[in-house]
Amino acid sequence: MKDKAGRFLRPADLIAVAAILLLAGALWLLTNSRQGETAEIVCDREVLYTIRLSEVKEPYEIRLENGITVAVEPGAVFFASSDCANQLCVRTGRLTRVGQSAACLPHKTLIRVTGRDKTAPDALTG
Amino acid sequence: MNEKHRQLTALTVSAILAAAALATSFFERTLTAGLPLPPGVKPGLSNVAVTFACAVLGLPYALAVTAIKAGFTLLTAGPTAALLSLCGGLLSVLTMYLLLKIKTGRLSYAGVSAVSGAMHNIGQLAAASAMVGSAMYLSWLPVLLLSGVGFGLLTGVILNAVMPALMKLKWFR
Amino acid sequence: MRLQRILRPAALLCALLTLCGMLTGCAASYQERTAFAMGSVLTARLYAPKDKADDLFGRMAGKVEEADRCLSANDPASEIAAVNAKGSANAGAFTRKALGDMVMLCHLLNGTVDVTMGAVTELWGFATDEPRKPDEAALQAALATVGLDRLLIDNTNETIVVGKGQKIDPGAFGKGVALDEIYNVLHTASYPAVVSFGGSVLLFGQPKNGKSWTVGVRDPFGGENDYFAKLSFTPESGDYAGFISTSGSYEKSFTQNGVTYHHILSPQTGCPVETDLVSVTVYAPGGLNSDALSTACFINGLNPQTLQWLQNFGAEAVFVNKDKEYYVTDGLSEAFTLTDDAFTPMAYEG
Repeated sequence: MKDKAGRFLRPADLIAVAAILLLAGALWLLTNSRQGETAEIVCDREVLYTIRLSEVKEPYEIRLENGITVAVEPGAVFFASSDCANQLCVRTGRLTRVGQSAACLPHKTLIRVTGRDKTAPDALTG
Repeated sequence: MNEKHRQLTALTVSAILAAAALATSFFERTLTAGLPLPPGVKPGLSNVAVTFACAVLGLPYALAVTAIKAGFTLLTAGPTAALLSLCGGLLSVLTMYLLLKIKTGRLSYAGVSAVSGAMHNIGQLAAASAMVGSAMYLSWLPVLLLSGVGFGLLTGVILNAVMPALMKLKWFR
Repeated sequence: MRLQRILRPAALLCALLTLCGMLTGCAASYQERTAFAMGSVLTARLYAPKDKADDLFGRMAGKVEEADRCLSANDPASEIAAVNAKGSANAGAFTRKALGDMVMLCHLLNGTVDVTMGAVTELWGFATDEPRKPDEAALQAALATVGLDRLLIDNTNETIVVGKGQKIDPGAFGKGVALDEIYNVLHTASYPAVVSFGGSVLLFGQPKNGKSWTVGVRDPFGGENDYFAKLSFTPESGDYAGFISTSGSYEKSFTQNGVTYHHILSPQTGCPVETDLVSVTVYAPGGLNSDALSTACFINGLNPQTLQWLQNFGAEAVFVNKDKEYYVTDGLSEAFTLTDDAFTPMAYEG
């Protein structure tokens, strides 16, 4: 058996290694790229709307059946109005960063911003 | 040299290789114990023995060595680690065998062990993901691919140095 | 011929690449689910496949609803509400067990928190849309009904009996009980998860890739989504469970005649506790303990006895006072990272 595999690094090797490195790079980009912030409007247990905030060009409003109006702006989402008594949801203000949320408990409605952001904590206590 | 003799030699050599592989992984574990390596990243020096088995003795023997390695992991690190080792090992050996079989445009030992090192990690991660029933661990793949290729090249260098010397022994020719 | 040499391995690798691409295509990190229960938002991030996440979350939400049906003082149909209305009523095993745990904790915390405060909390009306300062005579009458020794949990007859006019208020404990129930559900499946329930957090299992769980600690002077520090935990095993709970005077408060009243009432005075603290965050190995401890620590203040309590329960805490100063117990100092420079360490020698 003539040992042909002996020579270190041939053209084919380089191609193989380069291909794997390329794959690693592509996967890394795929899994770690910061996705645009996505706003979600949740009613009871159902996600009613999913909005890519980076794709919002003009401000607009979403009127929900339960008397809540959610405002959507480029890069932000918030409770514009609600017919609930405590108005806590409206007072929470604009949500712009991943991990932020606001809830209207009387109407069982939640808005939140999701997405990939390594600096955002997994949860908030308070 | 008759066929029976040949088989006996191959069996003995693969037993020695398995023992060498176990000793190497044990040695490697002691070496890297203090190093801050990310989870799942390890040199895999015992692949020298597996690659040798694959190149010289053939696929069945290489598979046997891999299985013995997984058995050793079962004893020392538990069933989960053993299953991961087995899946990674099988995929790696099959890749190795295919790559060594290619007649034209063959890879060198460095190339073979780099690719099979990467495949080893792919296999492990696939098994881990299958076990949890979700593909979430795959975001870790880039790191493991890099380390697989890097350490694969390293074992390739060792193989390049060792193979010619071993070939001269003419055990089964 | 030369071209072919390069093409063969290239083709093989292409096949490998496609395989990997297909594998990563389905790589989603976690499933997020939300429900509304106990007047709070229950949100779970489950590091599990979709169907498993649906099943787990369904069971979790079910447990919380069950706990609410048993323990809610506001829901007239609950067993506790029946006890409060009639002075004595039948109660199932879950209610009796949970109430027993609460009473035990109240004793261990020297009555700093008291589950029999219901008559007092009802007067203040923090659970309603119109909280108000109660009339002094009514408050004293309500305060007279408070007392753990007049609460009887009768396991033989499966009933709970309270003293005359006494009412049970599991408010400071309910979410903790619920998080313990959620833990039991998660424990059966062992997928990592982060559950947050109205400001209390359960961290379960190990985060992927050896990363840490991080929890933001709310900035008591900021908005609902602002935090002034982060706590990071790096679990060593998949069995890990950490419960984090916060009591803050900013949560529910109202202003009447120029005076601001917050919702954390002292069982001694029946009034909002007067303290320099604005929030206490407790990290403990149990949900009920963490929930009750955060309230008790807030009421008792930062002193050796409070620190002793924390130690007794294997818990750690972050205290914040009204001068934007914080104190972190020793066991939590490594996990703690300040993210807002406006806050400074408190001069307290524990």
